[in-house]
Amino acid sequence: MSLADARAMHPRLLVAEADPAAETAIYDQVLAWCRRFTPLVAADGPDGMVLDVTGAAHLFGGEAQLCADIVAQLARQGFGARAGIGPQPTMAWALARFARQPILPAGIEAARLPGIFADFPVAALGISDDLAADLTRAGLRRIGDLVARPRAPLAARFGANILDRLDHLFGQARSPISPRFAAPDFSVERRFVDGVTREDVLLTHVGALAGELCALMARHGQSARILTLTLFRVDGAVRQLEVAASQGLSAPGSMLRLLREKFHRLHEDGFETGYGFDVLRLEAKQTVPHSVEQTALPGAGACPETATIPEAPHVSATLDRLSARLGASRITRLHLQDSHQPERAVRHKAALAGAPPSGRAEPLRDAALERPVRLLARPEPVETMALVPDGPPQQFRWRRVLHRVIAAEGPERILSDWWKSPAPSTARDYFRAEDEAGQRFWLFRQQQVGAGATWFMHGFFP
Amino acid sequence: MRTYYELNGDILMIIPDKTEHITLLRAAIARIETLGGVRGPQEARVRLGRNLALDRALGGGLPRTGLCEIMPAGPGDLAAASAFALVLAVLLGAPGAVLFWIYEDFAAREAGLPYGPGLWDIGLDPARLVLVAAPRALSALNALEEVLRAGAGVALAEICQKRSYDLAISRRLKLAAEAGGQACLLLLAGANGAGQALASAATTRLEVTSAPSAPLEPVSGRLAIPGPAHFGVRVLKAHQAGNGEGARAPPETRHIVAFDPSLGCFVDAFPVAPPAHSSNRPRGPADAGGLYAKSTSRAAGDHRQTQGRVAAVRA
Repeated sequence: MSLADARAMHPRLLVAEADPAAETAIYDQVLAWCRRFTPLVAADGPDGMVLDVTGAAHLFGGEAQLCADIVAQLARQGFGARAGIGPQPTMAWALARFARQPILPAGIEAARLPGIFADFPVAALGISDDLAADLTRAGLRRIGDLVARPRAPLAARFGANILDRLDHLFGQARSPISPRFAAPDFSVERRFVDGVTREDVLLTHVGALAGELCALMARHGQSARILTLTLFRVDGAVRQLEVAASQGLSAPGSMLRLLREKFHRLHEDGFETGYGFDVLRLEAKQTVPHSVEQTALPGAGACPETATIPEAPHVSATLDRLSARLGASRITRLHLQDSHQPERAVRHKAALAGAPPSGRAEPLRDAALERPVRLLARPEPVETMALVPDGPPQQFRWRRVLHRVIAAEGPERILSDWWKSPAPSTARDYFRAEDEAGQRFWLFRQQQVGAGATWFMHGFFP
Repeated sequence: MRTYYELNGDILMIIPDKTEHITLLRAAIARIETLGGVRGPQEARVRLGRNLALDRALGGGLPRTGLCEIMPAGPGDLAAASAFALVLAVLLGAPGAVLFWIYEDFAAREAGLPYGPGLWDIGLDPARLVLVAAPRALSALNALEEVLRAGAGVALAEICQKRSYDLAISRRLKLAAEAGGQACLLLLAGANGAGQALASAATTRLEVTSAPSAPLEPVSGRLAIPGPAHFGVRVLKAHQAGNGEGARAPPETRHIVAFDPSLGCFVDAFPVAPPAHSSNRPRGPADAGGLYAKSTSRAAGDHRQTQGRVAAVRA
């Protein structure tokens, strides 16, 4: 039906353009919100969600109460919703969409299921609209009609898919769900009757949660590498804060310090407290066995109080905090690589991954001429004057300043790693040049095919 | 003109001359700061070299904790200033401890990042360096304070936007450095030649230029080979330097120093002998702690030293 026809039939029709991106965003938001009921939440089609509430329903006053809760809270956010609970995802799917009585008791026998679902329309199998229309045209309107038929002709006419769906619905085959969020190793949470708005109060509760989580993990001898704090706002918005640590966290104080860094970032991102948060959840995503460091041998002279703490934890705590504040990729350490190409001789790796081995790379050491103390991320072109064949330029202009070279060392020819990349190898002739003021530069000349040589600035010596 | 000063209620001075006036004021300020109970009278200082004129100008070396500002004299002197700052960081830090290089993103685009293989030549093992990138100058300064307060290691921050650095922040940094017991080095890349105008709580302020090296004689061809790096250092501010040994040099003196990789410290530029070639040096960078214990022995294998070159320097 075209829009004009629809408007002719209902003149007061409201029209809005479809906005798939916004719909996806709002869908994801509702999906994240559903995590307040269970950690295992899966997306299901464009408009459905599957929640694994096994062992969780009693926390919300039973299954009926949980169902009513979900529907009521979504209604308050402005979403019309239906919910159903069953032993299998397929059953719950059918119940949520077509049942008048949406909850199937947990211990129901399989033999009773065909009777319960007999009155459901065939669309309750979760088949495509075309197939449902085909079945209806053949006079098979209800699931009971399908059950009464012999299976083989059904499969021959409508495909084996339909039998699979029936088996799933009657619990003869299991259907897994694929949760959107990985289940945490450890999780603690706090719920409030009313939204908590004040930041200091929130942080106090986060501190208490960290204490609970630590106690929980200590019982299993674990410590957390990745912590996630999920804040559920009263109006349905959900915000997650994730912090990572280089070593397992097992003290509430250090957890709170890292989370506090992220908390301050929340305001910078423009996230508002609004009417407050009613659920706080702290999860340990990646856990490692907790290692207790022994600072001194008993009876070895030093008593534990006076033993010096090694500096490494000190540094790693600082690295964790900086990584939480600025992002882990911004805190890096230099890892020397076995490559002659200047850009590839060093790799910046996140400091959380660990310290690089100290010591000079042996194969490169003998060959090493002096290297600059600072290197530009990408070489900058230089305008050269008064060139000597195979020698450094007598004068060059870089960033609009003219430099006259009075001393130079070179060329040092460096080939690109031709065994690594399929592109033809390029040769660079590097020169160490000093100008009148004593400023020293690392220049190189690169032969361009058909264009002669071009000069570049690559680094600076002290 | 006669001026009366009353200090702590009991000191009364009559100063006839202007220079004497300033000297006495300096001494009085130093007394307030040391007797005020904030710190002990004689804080630990680190020498930058052996019998260095620069050390004397600083009053016996750099304080082990405190805020030291380093600024290039001109835009082209940033490389020299950053190398100088890195050497200071090595000298001030504990041997083998972590060094933090904190920079704002703009600084990396402007002048690049410290380059691992080149750090060996100024006596720094690149494995010790932790790079911290901050989006803005203010966040870089915050990160700097965080590192200092934790006492995690010597921290060096490169700041391009001079505007975000003021008296209050410098005071915070200084207190953080003292709380953590580590040195704070601030490389003010944007403050070319504006060192005199800067108001801050820094303990030390140094202006660094690159100085022409003593070129080695060319093997063949026309151009000479650049010699070891030289730095021109001007002491713009040295807190409590008056308490140290020796007389203060006038502030406009530019001390020319060179870094000696075999000793792991600075040496006066005149006279200077070229260090051993990098492949002939001992394996690790010489640590600053060993500076005093070591005898005057130089690294072996110094083949390039010639009498003619030294003469050329003196000329």
